[in-house]
Amino acid sequence: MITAAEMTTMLAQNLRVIGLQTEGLTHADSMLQLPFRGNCLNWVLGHMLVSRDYMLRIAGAETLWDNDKSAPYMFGSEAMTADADSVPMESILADLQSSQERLAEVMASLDDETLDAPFDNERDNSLRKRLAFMTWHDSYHTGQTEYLRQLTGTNDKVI
Amino acid sequence: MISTAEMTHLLARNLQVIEVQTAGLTHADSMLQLPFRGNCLNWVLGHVLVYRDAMLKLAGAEPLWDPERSRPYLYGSAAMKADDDAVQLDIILADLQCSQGRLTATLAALSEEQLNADSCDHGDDLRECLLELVWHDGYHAGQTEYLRQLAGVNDQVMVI
Repeated sequence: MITAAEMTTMLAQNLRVIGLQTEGLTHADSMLQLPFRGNCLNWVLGHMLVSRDYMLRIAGAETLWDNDKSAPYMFGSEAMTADADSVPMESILADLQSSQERLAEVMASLDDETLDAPFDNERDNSLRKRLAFMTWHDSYHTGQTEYLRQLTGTNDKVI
Repeated sequence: MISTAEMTHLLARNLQVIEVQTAGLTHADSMLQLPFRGNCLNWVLGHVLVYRDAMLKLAGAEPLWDPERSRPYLYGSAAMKADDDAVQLDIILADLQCSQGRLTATLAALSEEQLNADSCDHGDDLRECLLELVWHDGYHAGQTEYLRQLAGVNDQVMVI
């Protein structure tokens, strides 16, 4: 079965990619809108933070953001436009770093009994499966940051 | 440690995403170019297939594509343009389905001893190498969400 350490390794890899894909970008860059339907970089990063907060919560730890701060970044939220009241990108990036440390610590403390206990979710019936799904979700959105960096016109290849 | 069944489950989820994100799209749609630097849908899907082939080879099975067919989709290949001689979208999608079946059978046949043996140049064991490629598969699956929208469908087909 997938271990907590394997999951936090993948999350760390995603964060490394995010660090590279956002290097040199500004908050304004993160609010640039795609010329077709799709979320901007700021939303994707905030959505990842909110989803990592969900992982923290189900693992029994404190989240980084409260409900009000999280609301614009939840699945199904209104599309975030350029003039929306968003969280500054540097603040999201710093919080993603904090979430990595908190997740590594919390997940390392989970024993197999806790990880394999029944979990109430229509897709995943154990905490381990739910955390594995959220780890996958994190990687899924990480891939999108490659295009969102290029949207700003950097025209480079960083990974 | 992650099991091969968990890996193939993750790969199956990526394939499910790819199927949803390509539903109703044509080969021409897959060749549409982004208005900024970035690979088109056809390249991303072919690239996913080529790296699933790499997993098959690592696990001791036959890949689906030969080197010539794979070359335009390898990491570092020249950017694929709209009029390039690309593999047809429906063929790539069918081959991704085949690769899923072949990977499921091949990975299931690996012993713990094989999974824990050194496999890659950088000293990782086979399990770690395969997991890295599973991660890579999910990374690119996420990109198909934007590449579908490039075709102007203006819909939301995923619920994650």
